Amino acid sequence: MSLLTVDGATQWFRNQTKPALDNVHLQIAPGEIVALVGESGCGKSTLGRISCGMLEPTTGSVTFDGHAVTSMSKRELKRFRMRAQMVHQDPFASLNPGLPLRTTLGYPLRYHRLARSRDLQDHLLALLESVGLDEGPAFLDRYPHQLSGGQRQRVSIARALSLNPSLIVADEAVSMLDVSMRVSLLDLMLSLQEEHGMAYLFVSHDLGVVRYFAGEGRIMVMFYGLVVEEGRTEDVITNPQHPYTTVLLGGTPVPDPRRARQRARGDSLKQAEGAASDTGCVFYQRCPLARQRCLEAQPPLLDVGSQHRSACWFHDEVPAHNQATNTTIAGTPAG
Amino acid sequence: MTARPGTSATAGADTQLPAPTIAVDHLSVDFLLPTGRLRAVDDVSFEVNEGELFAIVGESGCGKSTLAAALQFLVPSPGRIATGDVLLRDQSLSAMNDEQLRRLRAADVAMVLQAAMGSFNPVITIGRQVEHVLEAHPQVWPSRRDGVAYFDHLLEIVRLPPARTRRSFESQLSGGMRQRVAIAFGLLLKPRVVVLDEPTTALDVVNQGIIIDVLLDLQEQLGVTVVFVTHDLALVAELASHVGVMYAGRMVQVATVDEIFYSPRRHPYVQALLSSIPNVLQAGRHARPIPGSVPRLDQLGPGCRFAPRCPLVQDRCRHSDPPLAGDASGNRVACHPLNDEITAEVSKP
Amino acid sequence: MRQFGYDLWRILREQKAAMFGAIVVVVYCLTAIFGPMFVTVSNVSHPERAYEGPSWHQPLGTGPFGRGVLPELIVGTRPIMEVGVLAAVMTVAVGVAVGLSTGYLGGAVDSVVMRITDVFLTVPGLPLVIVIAALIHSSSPFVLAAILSIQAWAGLARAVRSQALSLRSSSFIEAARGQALPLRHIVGRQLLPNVGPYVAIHFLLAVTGAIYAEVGLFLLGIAPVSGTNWGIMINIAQSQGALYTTRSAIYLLAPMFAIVLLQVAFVLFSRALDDLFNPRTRVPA
Repeated sequence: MSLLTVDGATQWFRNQTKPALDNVHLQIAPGEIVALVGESGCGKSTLGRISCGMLEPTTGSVTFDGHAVTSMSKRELKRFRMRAQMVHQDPFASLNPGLPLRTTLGYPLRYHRLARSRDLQDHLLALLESVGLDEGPAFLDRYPHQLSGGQRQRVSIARALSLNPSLIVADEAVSMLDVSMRVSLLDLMLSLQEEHGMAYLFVSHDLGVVRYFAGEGRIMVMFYGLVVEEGRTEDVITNPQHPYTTVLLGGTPVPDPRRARQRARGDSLKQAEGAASDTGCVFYQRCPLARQRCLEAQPPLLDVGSQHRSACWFHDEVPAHNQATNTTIAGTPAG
Repeated sequence: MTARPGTSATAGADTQLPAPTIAVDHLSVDFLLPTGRLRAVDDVSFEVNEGELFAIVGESGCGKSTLAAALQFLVPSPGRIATGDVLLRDQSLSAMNDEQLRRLRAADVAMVLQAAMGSFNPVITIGRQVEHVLEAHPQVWPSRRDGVAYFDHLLEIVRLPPARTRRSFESQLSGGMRQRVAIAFGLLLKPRVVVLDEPTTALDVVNQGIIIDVLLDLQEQLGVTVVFVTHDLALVAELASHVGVMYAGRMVQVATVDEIFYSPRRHPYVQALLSSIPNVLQAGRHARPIPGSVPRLDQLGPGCRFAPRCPLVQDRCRHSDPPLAGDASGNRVACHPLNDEITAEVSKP
Repeated sequence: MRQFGYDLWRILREQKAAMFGAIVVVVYCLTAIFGPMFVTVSNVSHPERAYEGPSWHQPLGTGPFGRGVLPELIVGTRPIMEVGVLAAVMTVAVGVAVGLSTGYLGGAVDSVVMRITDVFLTVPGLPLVIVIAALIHSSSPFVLAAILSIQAWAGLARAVRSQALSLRSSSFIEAARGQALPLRHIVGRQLLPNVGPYVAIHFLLAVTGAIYAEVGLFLLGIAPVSGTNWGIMINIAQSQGALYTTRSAIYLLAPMFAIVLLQVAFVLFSRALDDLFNPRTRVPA
């Protein structure tokens, strides 16, 4: 049974001519890792916020643990929000700068009666230890600005973890950290998943990070409010079936100067000048495979393989554009 | 293409090579805090030759942003340039007076800040701001019209529509567009060097790709020398021709980009950094975090700063801080075990 | 709390002007609290000793009724400061509570309350206070303080509301909502510390504003004249012809100087508060 189902979600914000989300369907099974990728404005963050109850879609349904969110009572809604927690992108903004860690982490535990006052300190120290912050009690008296970015994100994860959630939405959780720091946080989140079994909705624009984290899970590629490709992460990355996915893959920097020099420079021009199309396929203006048929209507998600779907009529032609990504491990110098 | 960086700070002795566009000579920058003096940049030397794309790489807190600011001889308080010098084509910045430095900062060494922060006046159009800049520096563009035409040309290279962009306000531009306009501003007065602090941080992958291509185009078409600061080695691979790696205030390797990524002669920190990158071309859990943590600048010992975390560490590493030493091709590494190999080679018959 | 005290001391030591301001304010407070215990102003009038110059017995000379200027000044401190501080407390309490709540809650509540606030904002403050004070003839400091703050809270409420609006969309507030934390905690514990510096400084300004308004009321004779305070002193000085003779200069200028010195001290001290409430400048004790 699915843990979270978002069905037919469309989200309009004020003063917008296009919806942020357009009839999007998302399903997460318990303990599953699902990644949402796309450039800024594609709607992945909006979908993330809908998934943890911070936002109600303009139309469409959200079902959590079998219960429809719109028909939930206040108490049930509260429980839904507690069981679906978010880790935010900005380590500087996600912790209240005027409160010490003790309050930020401790108050929710006391309010929800998850810890008693006399056990609170021990509980908090254990919580911090589980996110790799093995510090003494004095650490709890610190303010966020006294912590490094990596430490702050760990505290954010601890906060999300403290309510024993079934789903964690990580919204660009490592994007603002140094590249060398990202791995340890990703490893932490993966080990927490092994230990506690929560599901993850991992929102990111960085395919390298996504492949690492969601390698054994699923990925959904989004473009201006629509899902254009979805499937198992390894399938989508090694055998993309939508031209936009190849654009994202080709644009992801890899630590290999020789490969980088071979990359064609003109591609980014097309991406810079094109916008989302209003008629036909949304990717038409920026698509290297665009042709007449694409102007007729937005292609639906078509089955292109096992659990693999793509919203492109010409998905068969897509592999021709991704030979570069398939010359893989032999060429890379790292590790 | 261009001459490789030599092992001495000034290229005057070598008659073949022209003076490097910008050379840093034993530069140290201190921060005077209530708790004491902190040396954020410690005895750093390197050169950037004309037309190069030089990356200064390191993690947060390594001093790279401070070093970049020092290229304009402008360090935010409570920072202070303690010793050393920065030379622009053999012209010493430490010998300049305030007026000369002011002109230098606008017209010779341009700075583009992270996320184009504070680069724009929000209440006037971009075009108006261009005019202000041209007015303030008439020696570069005596004809206003030529100046604006050049700006339009720059906008085209950075893939923005010229007239429409000049009519826009800052708030009407997306983050990626703002960064590109900031780059155009940086190049408006035809500087010798443009310094970019984290040019792609906070941008998504599509915008990142655009910035990379734009910078490569600018360098090709205008021959401008670029120095950029980043923590992302993958970006370095895409963009840089030469690299300087910083760790805890020290420069630990200076080399070409190919040497950094392919040469076995690599500083252990660089090796560790490379292994910590989640690479989209590799499956599985291939990346490894760097064990340990960066030392606090006020708790440094006498030896190599990377010693506590280094797989190659020897006893003398804890007592003596290795200098940057280059091999025959100019790949300079600050590491005792690695530099032993050079002396071994040199002493071979 | 200890951290707070340590920080305050450190900041005052660094900023000499703020230290000066703090000392002056403390002196005034002590005078207000303890002054009347040691100094008394007699009710008896000695017109033959009017407007005497400074002497050992009366360092500031005497006023129109032969009473010492300095004793009057000292005794007059308490009523002024009492009402001033009370008014500021009321202003801030109401302004912050209203501003934070409506800013955070938004929606219909926000609209209604903001319309009410707008009414209070557009009515001219001082004339309103004068009219109401003239109607309600009370010498109770609480009533007087309430009248003085009747209009002042609106501006603060608006400013605090806009801060609450911008804080509402910040990640840490969103996280608090995501953890289903109660409203009282979010407003009282999460939002309040972030508007703290603004509120603290506004509190000081509210005190200075209330003192001005209060002195004005006494000066104009609207507030009931009983006992003595700075405003009454100026009032009497005027009616007793102090404007036309130089002999009474001290009687006229002394209370004015007392007011000005206090206001300046508050302003100087408020500079330190900005630093104090900024958690980034904290140095661990």
